[in-house]
Amino acid sequence: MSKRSLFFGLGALLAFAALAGAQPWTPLNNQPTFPAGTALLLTDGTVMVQQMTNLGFGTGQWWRLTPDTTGNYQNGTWSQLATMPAGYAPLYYASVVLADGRVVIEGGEYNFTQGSETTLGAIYNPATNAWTSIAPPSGVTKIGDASSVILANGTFMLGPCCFQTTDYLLNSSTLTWTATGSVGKADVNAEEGWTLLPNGNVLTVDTGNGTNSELYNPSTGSWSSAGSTMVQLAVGTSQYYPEIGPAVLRPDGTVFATGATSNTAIYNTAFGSWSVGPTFPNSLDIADGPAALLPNGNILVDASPGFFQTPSHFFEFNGASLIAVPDPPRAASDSSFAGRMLVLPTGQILFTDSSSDVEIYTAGGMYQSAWQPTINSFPPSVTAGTANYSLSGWQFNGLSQGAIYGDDAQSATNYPLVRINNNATGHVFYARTHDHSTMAVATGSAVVSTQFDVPAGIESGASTLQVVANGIPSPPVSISVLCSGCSAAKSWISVSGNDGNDCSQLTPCRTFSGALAKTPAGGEVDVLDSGDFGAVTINKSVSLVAARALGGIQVSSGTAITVNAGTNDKVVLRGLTSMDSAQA
Amino acid sequence: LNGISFVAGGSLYVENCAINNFSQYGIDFAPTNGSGKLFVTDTLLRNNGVAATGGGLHLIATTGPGFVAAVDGLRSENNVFGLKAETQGMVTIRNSLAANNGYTGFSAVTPAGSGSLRMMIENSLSTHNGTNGVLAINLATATISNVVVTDNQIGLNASSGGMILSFGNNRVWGNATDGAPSQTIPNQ
Repeated sequence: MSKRSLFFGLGALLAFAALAGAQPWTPLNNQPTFPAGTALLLTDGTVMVQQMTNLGFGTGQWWRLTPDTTGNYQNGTWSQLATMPAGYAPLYYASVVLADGRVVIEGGEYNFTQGSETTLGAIYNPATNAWTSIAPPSGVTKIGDASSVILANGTFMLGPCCFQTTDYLLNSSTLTWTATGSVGKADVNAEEGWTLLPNGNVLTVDTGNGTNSELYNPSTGSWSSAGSTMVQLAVGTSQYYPEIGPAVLRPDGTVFATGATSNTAIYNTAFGSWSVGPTFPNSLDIADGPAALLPNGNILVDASPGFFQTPSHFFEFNGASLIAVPDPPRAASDSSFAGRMLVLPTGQILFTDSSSDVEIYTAGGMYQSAWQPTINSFPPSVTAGTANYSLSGWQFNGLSQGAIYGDDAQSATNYPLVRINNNATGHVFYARTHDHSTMAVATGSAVVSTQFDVPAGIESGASTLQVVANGIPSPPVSISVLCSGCSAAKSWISVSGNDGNDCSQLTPCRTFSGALAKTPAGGEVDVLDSGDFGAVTINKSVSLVAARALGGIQVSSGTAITVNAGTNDKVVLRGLTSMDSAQA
Repeated sequence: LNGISFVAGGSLYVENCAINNFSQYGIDFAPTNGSGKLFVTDTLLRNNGVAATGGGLHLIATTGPGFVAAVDGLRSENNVFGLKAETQGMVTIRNSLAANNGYTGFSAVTPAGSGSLRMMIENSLSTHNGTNGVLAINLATATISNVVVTDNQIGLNASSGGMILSFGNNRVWGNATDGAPSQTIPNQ
């Protein structure tokens, strides 16, 4: 981003009904109660999304979107996460998911409503739902809308904004920085985006140096020219520093690069050379905006006219041409810079635009089998609630970073997720992954690995396991999920819980009904505190227990608890001392 | 409608629960396939049912083999009825109270000429109820032991062939009409 005015129209909420037929956009069935900004894919399959203000500024509030029991994000539910450290509410910042599963947010062109190029930063640990501040690199006075990437070896590299040429590597254990030096960088980092290539180098298109592009070599810590993009991509105005658009690696090893002009360019990583790509029609460009690699190999892009103008229009780049696709409902009032994309594990694209209308794009077509991750070795059985299982195989990180936004708002998904599908119920569970052996893309024949933790609430029994990267799953392998003493079968509910949670004691659910859906047969739902936990229909063996609090169900009409279960099912209702109605 | 509605399942255990103010039953145990086991322990049912509809604990199986219910520590207070078992099944009641219900405290009822119902009440109290303390109609049999039945409109009411069997150790007095057991049977 550059210094731009924010012009999110409060009155511009346009909600068009989805077109019939091949409409690829579908709204979430449970829309957020807040304007939704940047979204990041956590390694447990949930999505963390920043809450924006109604004017499109950042807040320190984040939410989690949890898919339903079938792994469907459209039916996902929201729960609130911890708030960022006090004083930090960024907009246009660097954002990554580390190989250990933690999330780093660095800088911000704005903090709260102030254009400040802040040096604040924080790391979020999803396992503990806690943020920790990160001090800026020594001597750095602006981080702002920063370039960033996770290098192949898992190191987070940050390119502070503005007129700086030095990049910094984060030690994620000590949260301290090392300067890479400024070896060879031809221009300043401002507004530049970084694309990780299969050989581990990082490609950028210069914003202040004509059509020049550059490569960063992590092994030498130096930048060198990658040649001319043939056509001008970055362009500025009297008001704005030159902007650039996203540059996304495709499965064929080419990078599709866009910019603030209608030109596009294609970088061939095999030959290290550029060629001219198709031109956007109608003077559209991507002077900041999102793009995402689809499972079919195409790149979905969000373009708009000039600098930060409306409307936006969407295209799929298929390797040769830009094919216009339907626009999401709010496109008429959005400029491309307002959009954010995230590749979901389903292969769908989550699109946010700082409104409370979150849309999902479902592309046609199919991935090629050669693009899939492949599992080589895996545990034949896993136990609920047990951590640190190992998986190894090929292409666990996918062939690309997935979604990319010009300079900031990174939402890369080049890391493995583990999806376990229960054969009997068809229910989908994600096992949190961490400690991936690499963060490289397109790792080919190199054997790579990751670790995964089996959630406590998983259903036991014969299941299949898949590794998912950038929405493309591996062929499944068969495993057996065991229940350890069936402590795993316990769920918790609380008046402060949320049915989007996993119903663990730390992050309880809100209702009997919500918890029951996540509790396997034979399990127990435990009430943590006093309250009304809603009417419920019980369809399996389960215990609903309020031993430490007044477990209540207040209904104004209808039945509080209906038991409609199998003929051998056992249902225990214990301590529900506040089942009340106003009917009698 | 109901606090707990049992439509189908194997067993239902209700323990330490309090169920109040529902328009029909506090607990409606009505397995549609005629089979199911209910265990109620230390549970309160209050103010359930409206006018002559609904009540405290309702047991019914309209087809065989019939429900099986064990009730220990039930307090059924100020409902339309206290506990009513209908049509087909077996219920044992112990250490329980039916008080101030609009109609009958403990009621065992089958249709005329069909069904089979046995109710055993032990060490319990039925009092201040608007009609009967203990009622057995048609093919239903209620057996009472160490039960206090007082201050009801009718204490013991066995009608239309229904049987109330007494072990001879009950205290039935102070009702508008005390009534009498159909038969007294010896302790073993």
